[in-house]
Amino acid sequence: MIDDLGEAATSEPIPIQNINEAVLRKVIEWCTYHKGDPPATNDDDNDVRKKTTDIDEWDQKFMQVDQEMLFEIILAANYLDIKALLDVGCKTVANMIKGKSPEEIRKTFNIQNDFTPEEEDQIRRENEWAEDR
Amino acid sequence: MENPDTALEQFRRQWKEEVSARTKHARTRQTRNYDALRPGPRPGPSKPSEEQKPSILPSKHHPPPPSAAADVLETDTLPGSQRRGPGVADPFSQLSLGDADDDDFSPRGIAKEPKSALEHYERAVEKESQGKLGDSLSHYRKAYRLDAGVDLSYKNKHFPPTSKPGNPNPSNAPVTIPSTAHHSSKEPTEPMSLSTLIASFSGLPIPGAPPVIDGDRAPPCPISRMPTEILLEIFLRTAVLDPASFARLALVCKRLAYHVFVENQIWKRIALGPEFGLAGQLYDFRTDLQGREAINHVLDSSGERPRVDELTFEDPKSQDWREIFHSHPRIRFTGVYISTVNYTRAGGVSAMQTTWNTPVHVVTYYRYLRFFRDGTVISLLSTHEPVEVVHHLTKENVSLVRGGKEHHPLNFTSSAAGTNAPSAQAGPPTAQQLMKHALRGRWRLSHPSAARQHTVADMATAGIDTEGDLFIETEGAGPRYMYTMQLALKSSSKSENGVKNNKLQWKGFWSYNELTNDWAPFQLKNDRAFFFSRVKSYGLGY
Repeated sequence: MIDDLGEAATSEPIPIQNINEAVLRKVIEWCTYHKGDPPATNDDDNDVRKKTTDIDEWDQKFMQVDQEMLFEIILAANYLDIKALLDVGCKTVANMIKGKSPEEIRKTFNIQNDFTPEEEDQIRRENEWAEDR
Repeated sequence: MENPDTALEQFRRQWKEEVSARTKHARTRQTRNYDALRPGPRPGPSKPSEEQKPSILPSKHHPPPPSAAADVLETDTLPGSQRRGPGVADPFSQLSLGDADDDDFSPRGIAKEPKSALEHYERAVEKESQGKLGDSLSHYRKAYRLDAGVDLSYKNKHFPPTSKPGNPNPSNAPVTIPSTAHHSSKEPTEPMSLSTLIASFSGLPIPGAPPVIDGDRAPPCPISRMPTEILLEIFLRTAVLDPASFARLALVCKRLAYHVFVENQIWKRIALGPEFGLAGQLYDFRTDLQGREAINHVLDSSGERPRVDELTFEDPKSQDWREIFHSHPRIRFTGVYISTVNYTRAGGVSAMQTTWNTPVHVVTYYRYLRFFRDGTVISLLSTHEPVEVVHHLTKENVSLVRGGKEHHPLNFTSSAAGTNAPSAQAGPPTAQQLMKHALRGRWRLSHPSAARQHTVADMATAGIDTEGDLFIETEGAGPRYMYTMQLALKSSSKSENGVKNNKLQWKGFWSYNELTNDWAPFQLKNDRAFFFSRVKSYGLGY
């Protein structure tokens, strides 16, 4: 396939903007480790049934990076369309959100509260029921 | 005791004096308006609650003897929990862990000693809902002493006249679950409707936190640079992990609130998903009573019922998946359903003493139901309080208890359970004690097709809830019997935003004799509805 593209395709660099070297190295590290993985099944039904919440141990270690790097990896995975890596990254962030109060979430991600007390109150009342799942 | 008549007279006089002093005092404090409305202050605590009447009646008909009266006066001056002492602190409070995932066992502000009449009243309502009538009574008394019109102020606080003019029975909602007493619906007074408010949040950035010290660099906020598509990927995974955490994101900042309310697809995934949604609900019995997988499904005439999926909600108007997740009948696995039953029975009069009153026993017992995703259920009837029981209400404990045959009267199942139960190791004695009478069983819901003609919105408003029936079969009192319960999923709060389907109302309870094919109904005279309580130690119910 690459032959069809001619000389230029293999000799000319493909520009990857938006991704810096450190992030790209991480992404390549991840891809190298996972290159032997069986292809993901596209069967939706199957996907729903398997426990979608687990992250394997190696990936957990891999994702133990500072938050800037974590989000850079997610952005890179999205940009390069590496679905499995995007999935692991988003799950890692989801785990950081899980079980936290809104204030703790703000602290974790350095977000400022921009609600007025009334707005906050209104939204709290609206979603209170969800606490019971 | 020699002359009870005069002593009694004296007490009555004392009481009257105090009451009139209170009334005067109250007048000076602008409570005039209800003194005019009310025929007069009532010293008794019977007014706030219908339920409590039985326990109070006797004391009305037979005024307590002087010694008892003195007692009452004395204890009245002490708040209930102070009297209990730290050693026997409220068992519910011990479950309090103080974080976002706290379960309902910790009432708000338990550490604070009530001071004002209203606080006492609120505490009384709370205690009453927990079935502690004694504590509840003493708080009611104290509240009425401090302010004879406290029930009105309570009503004004928790049931403002705007929502429903004159809720005749303020204790109705609080009796169910104290925490929902505070939600009182204020929608009509809202300055901006929720949808406009949420719409105004669209397109806003996620604001980064300001620097800790002025002029310093702001702390990094990489999440604010994420494009929407990635935020949604993250939210979807959060929602699948824990819908409550996803809903909490709405309170972080405006931009996130916008996504939480607008992303119908994420709510759809929750509502239909197997984790918390409808795919996890069972409409056929999956196991036998002992929890073994049913090998030959009982095929009734309709055969296997279809799964609940998108097609169940084909009406596009009703496809607000957040609302479907909110209001559609489903069993929760993250906690336990508890029915607190109080009843009174007359005690015997002691022949040895001359007393004025007959003792009345207030008996409290609890029914527990814990559901599992695999279609099994544990049913337990116990006089032990929830805080002692809920953490032991596990399958492991049941099989542990069943493993040791000598511990259980129902050893007919031992051949089945004994094989895989670790009978060698003994559990903590308390767990064994508590779980000794736990019954294994199975559950299923009635299929939503039963209510196909009603839209979800209809059901929410009109209260038509035919599909929300729950059927439970458990082991019975002996090998030949099986208990069958039929319950209806209801909501404890009438508010639109309240927790839905957290109440199981009794429809019937039978004992079935498998040999003679006889159905014997149980009387449900004393039985109360079950209410759901989250239990943190159950995690998300896996």
